[in-house]
Amino acid sequence: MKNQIINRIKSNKPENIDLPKIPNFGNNDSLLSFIEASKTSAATVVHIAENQSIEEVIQTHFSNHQRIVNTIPEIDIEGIETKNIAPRDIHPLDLAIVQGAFGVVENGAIWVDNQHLPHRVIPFIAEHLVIILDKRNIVGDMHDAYRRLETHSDSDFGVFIAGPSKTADIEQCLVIGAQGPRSLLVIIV
Amino acid sequence: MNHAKKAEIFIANTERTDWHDQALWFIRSKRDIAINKVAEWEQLRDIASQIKAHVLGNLDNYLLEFEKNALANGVHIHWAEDGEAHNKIVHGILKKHKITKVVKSKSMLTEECHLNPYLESNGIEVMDTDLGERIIQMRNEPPSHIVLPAIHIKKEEVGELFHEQLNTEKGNADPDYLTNAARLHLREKFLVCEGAITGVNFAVAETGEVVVCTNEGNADMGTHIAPIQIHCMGLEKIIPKREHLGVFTRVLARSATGQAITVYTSHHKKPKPTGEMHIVIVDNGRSEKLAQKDFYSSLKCIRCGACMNTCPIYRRSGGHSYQFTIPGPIGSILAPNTDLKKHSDLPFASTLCGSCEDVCPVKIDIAHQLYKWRQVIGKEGHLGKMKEKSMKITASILKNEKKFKFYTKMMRFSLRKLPKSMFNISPNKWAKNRAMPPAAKESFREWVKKSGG
Repeated sequence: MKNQIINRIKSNKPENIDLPKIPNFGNNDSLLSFIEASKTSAATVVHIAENQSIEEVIQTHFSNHQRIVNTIPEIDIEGIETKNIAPRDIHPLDLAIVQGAFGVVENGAIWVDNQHLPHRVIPFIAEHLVIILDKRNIVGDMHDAYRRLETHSDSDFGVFIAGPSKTADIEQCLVIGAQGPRSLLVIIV
Repeated sequence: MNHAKKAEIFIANTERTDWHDQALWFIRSKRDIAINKVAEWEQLRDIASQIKAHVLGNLDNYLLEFEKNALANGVHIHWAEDGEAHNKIVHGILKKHKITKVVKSKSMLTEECHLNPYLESNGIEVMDTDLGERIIQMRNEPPSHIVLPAIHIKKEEVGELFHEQLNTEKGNADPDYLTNAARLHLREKFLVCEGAITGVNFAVAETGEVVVCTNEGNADMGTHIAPIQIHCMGLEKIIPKREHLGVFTRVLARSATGQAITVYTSHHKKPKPTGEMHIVIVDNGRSEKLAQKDFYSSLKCIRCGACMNTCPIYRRSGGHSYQFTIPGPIGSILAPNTDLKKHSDLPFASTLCGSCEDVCPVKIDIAHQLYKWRQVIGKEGHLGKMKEKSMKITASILKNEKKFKFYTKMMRFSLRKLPKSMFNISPNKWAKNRAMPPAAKESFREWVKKSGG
């Protein structure tokens, strides 16, 4: 089957055109613009103050949440153990706390990959998601983002997340909270 | 029933036609706002188009490179000649694992292959999980748009449907309420699914990974919960390197919905530690199409739907009037390739205004291809007697200066002097739903002559 398809392509394919070069557009990579873009995607952004702790910020936003998965050892919030359970058994999950690798100014997206996730489903199955992002890890546009990924260690699964899950499938009315998290809190440290 | 007849039924309800038209134009306007924030937008379109052209000229090599890298990642690769082969492969994987419940995220390819009815006839429950897809699945309808499958349905109708099938409050048509009801319903399905099927937006040859873009997070809920994940892709979805994702992730969502990027852009490279990952590469006529000099560039399409949102015909006739998996301008140049006679009406479902070409992020010459398909359809004798005859008469007038002058003069005279009731009658299709315009006293040529130009 494969050979038939490949041979047909070989004899039918059009002439080669050289791959274009992708220029460096030098798009703005300021933290302030990133925060603006995140808000446009319906995320809440908190830039942590010096005398504030991450734990405090999370507790103010989510005071009475029962089931939490905290994937960041440095954060002192107790969560459920996910090591020996199937992905589906993580449900119901009120809150997930995950590490973002870097953020993209042009669209507010944040790269999250499986290196810091015991289960890939965690950032999707939670009712609410918190992403921790270092303020030094901001890039301008998606070209910069993929350049950044070249130096980032290899991941089996990775995702750009821009805001909480949403849909406009009913009469184009924007509804936040489709199948994934109902809210996204980005904490910039 | 051809497109024109279906469209006639659609526009019979004026209010609903206007509503549909406005809903789509709203998205086109959001697209304009989004692209105006990107200074290098036109340059990105050029680059995107050139990358796709390069891929099509080297498709065999990139597919083999993709396969090699995906296999090295521990992914199972399957090749399907056509839709039937694709369905059998997917069913085979599910059967091997004794899977009876699958969740699916949006995939135009599986629509094209009619995967759902095939699996259902083999006793497998298929649950569409994109909200719009789920709505039309409940209604037992095909999608009417490739990005917004339920764009033709009003919220009151969704409310009624959910009341019947999901037991929501009668008369409640609040989108927040209904979306939440669907969320709870679908959550149950995600938690018991054994297999997950997704489409593919981009497949990267360099890394062997597939990229899936969604807003709802439904594709990820399925693939990361189900032990078996299956990604189905048309063979034209290949791009050479990761750096090219930088271009396509910038143009896709902006063109589609006016978002800067979809909420989730997921890169699936290797299976979960305890799971299996399969990729089905489907031809289904694509490799044949590569040989068609005038039409192969339609394979550049990234399925953003921008051409539909902008098309004056699509907006006022609805996706179902096209009677092809992919409606709108892009569907009208893809369909004739699958069955020229059956879809011979579609290249005529256009004013050739060219707006589709202006918005296409990969710069497919859609309007030009529509025009070229018309020539093919004429040559193959699929125009229909009436159209063929009237075209011949028109041509004989247009190519003869004397005849042209005579007939246009006569037309102007008649339109001015004869009673309106003679023109605004049913055999005159130009006078349908409108009166004929008043004719000018003189022709353009006469006016130029007189004014000394």
